[in-house]
Amino acid sequence: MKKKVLIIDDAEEMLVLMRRILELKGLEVHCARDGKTGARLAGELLPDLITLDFNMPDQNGVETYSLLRSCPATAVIPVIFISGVMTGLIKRMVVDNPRIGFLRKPVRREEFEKCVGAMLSLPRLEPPPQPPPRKKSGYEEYE
Amino acid sequence: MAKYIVHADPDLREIIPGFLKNRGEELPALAALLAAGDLDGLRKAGHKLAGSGGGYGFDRLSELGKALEAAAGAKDAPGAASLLAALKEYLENIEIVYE
Repeated sequence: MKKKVLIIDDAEEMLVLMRRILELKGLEVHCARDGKTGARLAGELLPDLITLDFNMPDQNGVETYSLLRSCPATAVIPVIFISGVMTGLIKRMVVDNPRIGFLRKPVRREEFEKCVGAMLSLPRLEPPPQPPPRKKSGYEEYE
Repeated sequence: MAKYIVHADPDLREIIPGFLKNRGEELPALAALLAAGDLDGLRKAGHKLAGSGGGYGFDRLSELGKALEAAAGAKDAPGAASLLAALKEYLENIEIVYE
């Protein structure tokens, strides 16, 4: 089965470029032009990897990442941040978490392929199990 | 005769013409931003160009985008105008060699 990658980027030319490179690698590619749509698609598709533009209008990459982290099913998906500059915040995130990568724009094919390959080789984590439904107390049975 | 020969990735042959066509079609909008004094709009456009050009193999576009972002960010309208002229001249004189 093909591995799935979700690209979240507001720039059409970046979506076209990254889609082309990833499809040449035999990957199934999905795209979103904004963070909210991207987070929704991530929940529906549960991709193996997400590439996330840092600098987007409305909801930037970090806000979108927080949204992904807030859902157990998407919190375990590796993310590659893509940005023109390596901010202190991204640096800390990359250092602290091996499931977060970083690529500087302009994205070169060779380093993009290398980073995607490395992130896709990480073991796929399952989301933590949901807590069991609360048992009814004796009193509730009579309500 | 083309002045700028760019050696591009043959795997990107399908998407490069569209990319360049769109950049060319953006030029009037960029000129309109300059005429309207919307330097913040130009700064954003420069940032986008800087981020995408090199990925397609056009490092010069990324350089021009970066310079446009810096000039517009510094409210340097004459500098931005000169960079837009350089961008137009570059886009009109590219020859692509896929190899």
